[in-house]
Amino acid sequence: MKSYLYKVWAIFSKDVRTELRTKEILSAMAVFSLLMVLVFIFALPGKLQEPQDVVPGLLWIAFTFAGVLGLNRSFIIEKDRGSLEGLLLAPVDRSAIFLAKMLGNFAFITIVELLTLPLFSLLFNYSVFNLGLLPVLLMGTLGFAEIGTIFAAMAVNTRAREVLLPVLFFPVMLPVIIAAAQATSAVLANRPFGEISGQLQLIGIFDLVFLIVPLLLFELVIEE
Amino acid sequence: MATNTKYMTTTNVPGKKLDWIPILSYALLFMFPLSLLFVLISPTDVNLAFSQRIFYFHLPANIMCFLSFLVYFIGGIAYWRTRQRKWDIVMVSSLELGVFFSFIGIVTGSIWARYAWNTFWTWDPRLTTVTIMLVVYLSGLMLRNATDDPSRKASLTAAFGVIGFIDVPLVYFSTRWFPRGLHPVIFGDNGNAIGLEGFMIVTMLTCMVTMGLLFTYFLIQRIRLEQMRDDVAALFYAQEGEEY
Repeated sequence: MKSYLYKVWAIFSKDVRTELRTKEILSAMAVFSLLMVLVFIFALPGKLQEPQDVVPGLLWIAFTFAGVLGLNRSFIIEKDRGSLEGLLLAPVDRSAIFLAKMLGNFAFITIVELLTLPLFSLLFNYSVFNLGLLPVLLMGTLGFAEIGTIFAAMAVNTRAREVLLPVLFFPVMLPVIIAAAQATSAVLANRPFGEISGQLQLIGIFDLVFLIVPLLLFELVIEE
Repeated sequence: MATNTKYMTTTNVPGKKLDWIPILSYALLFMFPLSLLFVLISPTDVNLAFSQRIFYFHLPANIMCFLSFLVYFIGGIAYWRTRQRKWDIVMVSSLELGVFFSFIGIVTGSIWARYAWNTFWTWDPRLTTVTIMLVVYLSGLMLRNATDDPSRKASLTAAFGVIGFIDVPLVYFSTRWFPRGLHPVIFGDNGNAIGLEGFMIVTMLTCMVTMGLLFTYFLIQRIRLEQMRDDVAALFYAQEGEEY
């Protein structure tokens, strides 16, 4: 168990180190989400007066789209540089590769989300800083990372890989997006925490199920 | 495997086993007019008048759609455990059938809703779930068509089938919080509130059997089509091998 976790850590830290040197995924996602916020503001100028109606939904739209961008890169980078074969040849269980990649994606998307939140608050002039938002954000992002990582690994070996990931990813993610947007709007309206327990439960079940299922399926998806 | 038996085909081998296609064809020839007749002579609903009769197609189509995705899921699990081509054939056949039947279900439901609820569309949890399910499996078909290598095609389809099937109940639970939109759902959960009585139940069961036969017929034919494609490919390669 300890050596398994060490292997996961090794692949994860490799991803983080690569990212810190190239800043390819993070910069693309951050710039993209900034542009998304601007597009929302230009597209919905009337809504600046009542941001509480639109901000929860827009937040999750921005997270989903920016997330897909980063998820796509996570395997395409490996494939294009030929390092995916190297990774598969490494003497580790395939599920360790999934776990490490998933944690890497989770970390990158979370960082971008935390950067996007102040932008939203600033430009929509509506504070989204609320401690209750943190569990919703983290659990929702975990779901994104889990499903996104296995679908990115699936899409990378197909013809239309950049286009295919969002097509696969959005419909399957809809339960998390619905629940997370509902929970976010309840939290931002300062409603009691008990009101969102149902949504959090659903996201929690989603996270748990889709942590286990892709771990088992990953060897099927990635085999050469 | 077809590739091993050089010129032998796996389909249409006489005397190999019972051929279900003619049996199913005759059964359908009998059952389809019978269910149409039953639909016409069954009592008319008090509130919904004639439009209620579309239910005799709507409900069986939706049940067959769920059944297809269940077969796809089972095929996915079986392929994952065995890596045999036959399970890949089962998966692709049931995936296509499921999309077909869910499309029928959505279209018939939508036509009915126009008369019953005065709108083609409402974001009722069941409708939303079925729609999302259709989109999920359509993207699964896209995934399959975007893959070239046959064994990768099969394994990606299998993985997607398992994930998609597990996702459906989660979609259903999440739609509980879905805002109902402008139009109220008059009948509560659709279907349940409309009581079926006496001959209506007989009609419904007859239509269910007909749709089940149709599903089985399509599934067997689709599987055979895929096997024939394998045979053609095997013959093609065998011939090419002789020329060299």
